[in-house]
Amino acid sequence: MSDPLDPRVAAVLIKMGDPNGADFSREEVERYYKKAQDEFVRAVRPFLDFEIIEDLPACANYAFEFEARHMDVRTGRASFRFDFEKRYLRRPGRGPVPISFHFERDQLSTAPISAVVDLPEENIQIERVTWDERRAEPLTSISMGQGGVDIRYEIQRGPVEAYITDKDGLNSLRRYKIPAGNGAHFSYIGRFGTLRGSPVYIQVKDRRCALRLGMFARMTDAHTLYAPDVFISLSYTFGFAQLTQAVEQGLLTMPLFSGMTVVGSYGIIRRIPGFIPSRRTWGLVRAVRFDHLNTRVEFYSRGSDPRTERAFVIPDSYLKYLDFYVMAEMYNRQGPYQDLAMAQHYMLRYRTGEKLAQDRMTLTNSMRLVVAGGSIPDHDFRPPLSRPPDNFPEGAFTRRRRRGGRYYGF
Amino acid sequence: MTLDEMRTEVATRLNEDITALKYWTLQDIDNALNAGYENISDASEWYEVLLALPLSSRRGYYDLRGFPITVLSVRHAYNMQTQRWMTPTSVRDLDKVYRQWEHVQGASDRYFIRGLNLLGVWPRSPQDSGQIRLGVTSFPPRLVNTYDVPGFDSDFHWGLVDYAVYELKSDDREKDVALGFYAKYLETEMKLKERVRTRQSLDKLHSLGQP
Repeated sequence: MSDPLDPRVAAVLIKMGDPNGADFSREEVERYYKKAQDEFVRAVRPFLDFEIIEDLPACANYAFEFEARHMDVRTGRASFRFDFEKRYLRRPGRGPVPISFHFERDQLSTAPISAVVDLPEENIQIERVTWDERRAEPLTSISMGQGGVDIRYEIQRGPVEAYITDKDGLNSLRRYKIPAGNGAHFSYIGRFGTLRGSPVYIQVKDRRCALRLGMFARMTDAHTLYAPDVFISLSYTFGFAQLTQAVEQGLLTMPLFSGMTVVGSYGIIRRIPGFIPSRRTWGLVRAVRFDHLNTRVEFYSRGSDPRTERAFVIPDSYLKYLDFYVMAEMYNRQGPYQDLAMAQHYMLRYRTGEKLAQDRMTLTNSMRLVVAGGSIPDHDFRPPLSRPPDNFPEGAFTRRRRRGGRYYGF
Repeated sequence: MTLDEMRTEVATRLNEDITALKYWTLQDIDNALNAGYENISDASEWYEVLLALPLSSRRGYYDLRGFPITVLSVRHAYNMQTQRWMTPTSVRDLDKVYRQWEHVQGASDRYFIRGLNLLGVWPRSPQDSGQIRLGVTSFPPRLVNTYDVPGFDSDFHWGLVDYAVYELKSDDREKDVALGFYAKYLETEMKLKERVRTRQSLDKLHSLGQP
C-alpha cells in the first residue's frame, strides 16, 4: 500500500490556499482523488492482478439472510437452491445450484461446472487467461458459432482451450470447452476461520466481505479481514502462539508445501511462497487455490478505492500526478478559486505523468530482440492451404492470380 | 551549484534575503528545489543504479516496490550465476513457444515487466540462491546538506531554481510569474532529456545490425 490519503488531501488544500476547507470540503477533494486514480488506472493499466477460478460445481447454502450478501456469486460458483433465495443475492447466479456443501462436489459422477464465470469487479481488461497454466485463446462468439470453429461450443466439455467475452455480459467470460472435471482444490472443513491445521480450515464462504489482499503466492489467494461480522476462531482452541505450530504441522504434511520454512515462531500464516508477489503488506491468507486444472484470469485491475482504504495503491512516484489532476479539477470548479488557465496547466502536467507511466510500461517490450524472418512462430499463423506445385501443367487447374488489386480466377 | 547556492538564487528571485527570510522559510525553498530535482529526474531518467535481486525457486515474479529505492524503469538484467545478460521478452512470446512456461525451472535468462511493478523472470530459478543484477533508473537522493550538488551537469541546475520559483509562486497564486518560470524549467528539462538520450548518438554508425 502506498501513501495515505489524508495527508495528501491536506497538502492539496494548503496548496490551493484553502487549508481549512472553507470552499473545498475534504470529501470533495477525496472524490477528485478517486476520479484521478480511475483516470490514471484506466489509461496506464498499472496493476496486473490474478484471479484463479476453481473449476468446481456451483455450491451454496446459507442459514441467515445476512449471509446472502457474503456469498460468492461473483464467480458463478455459488448460486441459489430455491427461488426465494434469489432476492437475497446481489446478482442472481446462473441457474440453480445442484449441491449445498463443498464436500458434495467430490461425490458427483459428472461435475456440473458452469461454462460462464463472472470476472472480478475490479477488472478493466483481460490480459491473459490460462487453464492448467496453458494459455487459452481469445476468440469471438461469431468465430466460434458462425465461423465454424465449433458450433457446439456452448456444451462441449474438455480442457479449456479458448474463451469468449462478447456474449454473456460485459464482465463475464465463457470458457471453451467447459471443464469436464473438478479442478485441483482443497477439501474445506468448517465454514469460517483461517488456515489452521491438518486438515486446513479455510474461510471460503464470505469472500465478498473481504477486500482482496493480493498477498497470494503461486497457488494462494489471500483476503484481509474487513467486515465486522467476519471472525476467525483462533484463540479458543490453540491460542496464538501454538497456532503456528499447528499450521506448520498441517501444511507441511502436504506435498505442495513440504520443505517450506516457516519464518517466525508465533502468529498465523501471512504468506505462502510462490511466484506471484504480494500486492500489499498486511492481511491474512484466506483461501488457497491451485493453478493446476483451474482457470486463471490475469487482468488489469482498477485497484482499491482510496477513500475506503485511506491510502493509494498507485506507486508513490506517480502520486504527484494525481495531485495535479485534483488541482486541475479544483481550479476548474466554479467558485472563488476558479482559474481555467491553471486548470489547464495542471491537467497538462497530469497527462505528462500518464504518458511517462505508459512509456515505462512498454519499455521492456520495446527492447525485445525481434529477428526479421522470425525464429518465433506467429501464434495466429495458419499452415498454408494445399495447392499444386508451381510447375503443374498450365490449364490443368484453376488458379487465382492477383491483378490490379482484385482477384480473378481463370 | 550547491544546494546553498541554489537557495540563494531562489530567494533572490523571490525578492527575499536568504539570510533573513520573511515570507518563505528555508524548508519551503528546500522542498521546492527537491520537488524540481525529483520532477526533472522523473522526466529524464538520468539517474541510473544497479540493484541486486535475490532469486527464489518459488517465484517467477518479483515486485519492484520491494527495493529500498523507487524503480522507475528496468534497463537491463544480468544473471550473476550464469554470467549472462538476460533478454527482454513478453508473456506473448513465451506463450507462443512454451505451452506451460511457468512450470519451467532453470537458469533465468529472460525477463519481462507486467504492469508497472511486476518483474517476471524465466525460467524460474531452481534454487533459493543466486541473484540478478538489475540496471534501473530511479530518483537520486534528496538534496539535504548545504554542499549537496545535483548529479547532472551544472548548467542544468538552473532548471531546479526555475522550478522552485514556479512551485512557490504557484502556491502564492501568482499565476503569470509561476507559469513563466515553469516554461523556463521545461526548456531545461528538454535539454537534459536530450543530453541523456544522445549520449553516444554522434559515435553511432547507424548501419543495419547495430542496435
